[in-house]
Amino acid sequence: MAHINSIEIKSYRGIKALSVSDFSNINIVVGDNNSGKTSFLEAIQLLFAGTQLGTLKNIINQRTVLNPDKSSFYVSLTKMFNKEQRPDSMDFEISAESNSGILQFRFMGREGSVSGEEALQMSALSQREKMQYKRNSIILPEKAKVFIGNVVAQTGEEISQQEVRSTSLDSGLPGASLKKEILYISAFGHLRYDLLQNIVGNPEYKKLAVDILGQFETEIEDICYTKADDGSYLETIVATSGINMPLSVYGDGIKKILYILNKLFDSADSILLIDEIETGLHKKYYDMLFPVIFALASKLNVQLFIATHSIEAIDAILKYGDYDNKKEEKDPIKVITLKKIESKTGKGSNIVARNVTGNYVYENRKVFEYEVRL
Amino acid sequence: MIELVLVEGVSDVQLISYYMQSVYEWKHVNENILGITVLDAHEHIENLTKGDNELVLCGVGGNSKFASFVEKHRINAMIIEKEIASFMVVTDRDKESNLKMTRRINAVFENITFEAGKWVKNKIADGYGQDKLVNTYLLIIPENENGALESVIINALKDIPEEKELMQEVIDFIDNVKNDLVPELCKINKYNKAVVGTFFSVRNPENAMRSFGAFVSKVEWLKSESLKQIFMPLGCLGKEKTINN
Repeated sequence: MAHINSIEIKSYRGIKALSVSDFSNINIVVGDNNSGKTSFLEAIQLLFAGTQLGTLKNIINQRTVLNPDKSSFYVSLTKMFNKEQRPDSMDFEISAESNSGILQFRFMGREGSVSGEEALQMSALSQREKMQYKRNSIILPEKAKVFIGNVVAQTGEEISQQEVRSTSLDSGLPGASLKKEILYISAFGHLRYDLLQNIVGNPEYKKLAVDILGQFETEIEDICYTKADDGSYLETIVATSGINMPLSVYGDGIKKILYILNKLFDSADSILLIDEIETGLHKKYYDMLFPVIFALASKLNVQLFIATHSIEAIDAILKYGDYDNKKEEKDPIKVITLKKIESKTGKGSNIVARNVTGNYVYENRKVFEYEVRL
Repeated sequence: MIELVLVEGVSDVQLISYYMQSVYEWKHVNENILGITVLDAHEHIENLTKGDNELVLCGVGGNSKFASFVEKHRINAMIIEKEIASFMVVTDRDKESNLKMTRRINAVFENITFEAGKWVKNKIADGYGQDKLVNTYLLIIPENENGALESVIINALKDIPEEKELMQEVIDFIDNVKNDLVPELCKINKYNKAVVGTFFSVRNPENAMRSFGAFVSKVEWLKSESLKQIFMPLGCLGKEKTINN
């Protein structure tokens, strides 16, 4: 599996042209709201999406993780293209150098307008959903939008292509999402996902997770699945008192830690993207949790991209660099600050990046008000 | 706009700070937008503001301390990362030529260059690769003679009618004592320090034991034509500069 060394993004969402190189094992992605952090993390995922439309659909839907709005899928898809830069063209391209060779993802197409009936025929809706339209239980619009395009993906020498069709009636793209080659942790994902699936089956991982949780809640003795009265399986925490408590009754901190560890264990030899790592975690736990995450990522050969708004989180991550003692070694941390800039003509904007070492940030923060987040 | 000025010592900071406040109406504030704070007892920092403009005056701790100050305070990184509109270095000439002093100051900085007595427009890239301008100026004092800040002050006091007579008396006194009583005063730098120190001690005896900072506000510096001439570039701080290069 690949780690990436650089990335080039052209015409993707608010990014007209962005090039960032010299990634490290731990990459902190920072910036103001609307500076392109999430787009940057999405772009990395798209590099590994290949021509799997199910994966593409999942990436498009990530932004609405807590409030999936099926009716907005088509808008979300077309919003991937930077229409400000190229109003007549829907075409974006992401490429990267990885330790497995060149990775490239290009998505291009055009948008048109058809009758509601034609859109229904072209849509990826199930037969049952189409029947509902025909029975008028859902109003079929007179006009609908349609996107027809292609995805071209390159991994090393291998190039593949896939046609993409979507209409404004659609709530997704056809095709299953295969196991991802790259994992993404959304800011609030710990409120929804299965948090134990990669932990409980591995005694080593489970012991590590329980040890970490024990530093938050001293009474936690074990984590497991237990069978509920209705036959379903519940994620459960076993206390030293012997009482089982469903994980759902615990606070965000416990869930967030398990969420990160669960994904980390599943990311061996790959890339893990963590969006807003601070969400759900009190800053007093950073110094305890982050070194464990980084040591584990190193052991499992996981390249990390961590987006954050929190200066406390950035400082805690920089502590891992141990810069007061390690001066000459290769810096394990890079800090990528994204910034939205308006064009000099006053028309349009672009995202630019500053990519500096963790040591550069650490030294500057020590002596002047170096604003790493903007 | 943010203006950064590096000078040699505490007295340079105090004189320029007072001059900027009394002549150019800058106001003293406690903190600076750059976040520069003193890192040792020899450094001295004063912060001034005028409208939306900020002026940070840094005394680096002595003539030989420019390089270490720039290194310790990561001034080269600050030039890249912060929106510093212009950057002035004020240093004593002593016996050095403009060329040698310019070379010495330029060796300290990575992305900008200075020229003696002239504003220079430096086009550099910020951390995001975007172009930006930093104007620089190297002010060597005195302008056309050997010496240091003290000789500038002596000349300035000679210009001020209310101070002129006392200054001449002090010079005569120091001249009288230097050969027989205090041979050390034959060295021009020591001579000038003694003149300035004696002048302020006599002029304001209640403050005779205090630092120059206590003396500086007792003189109406704006009456000095020579000081006005030498500090003319300071008047550009906080304003758009017209630079033809």
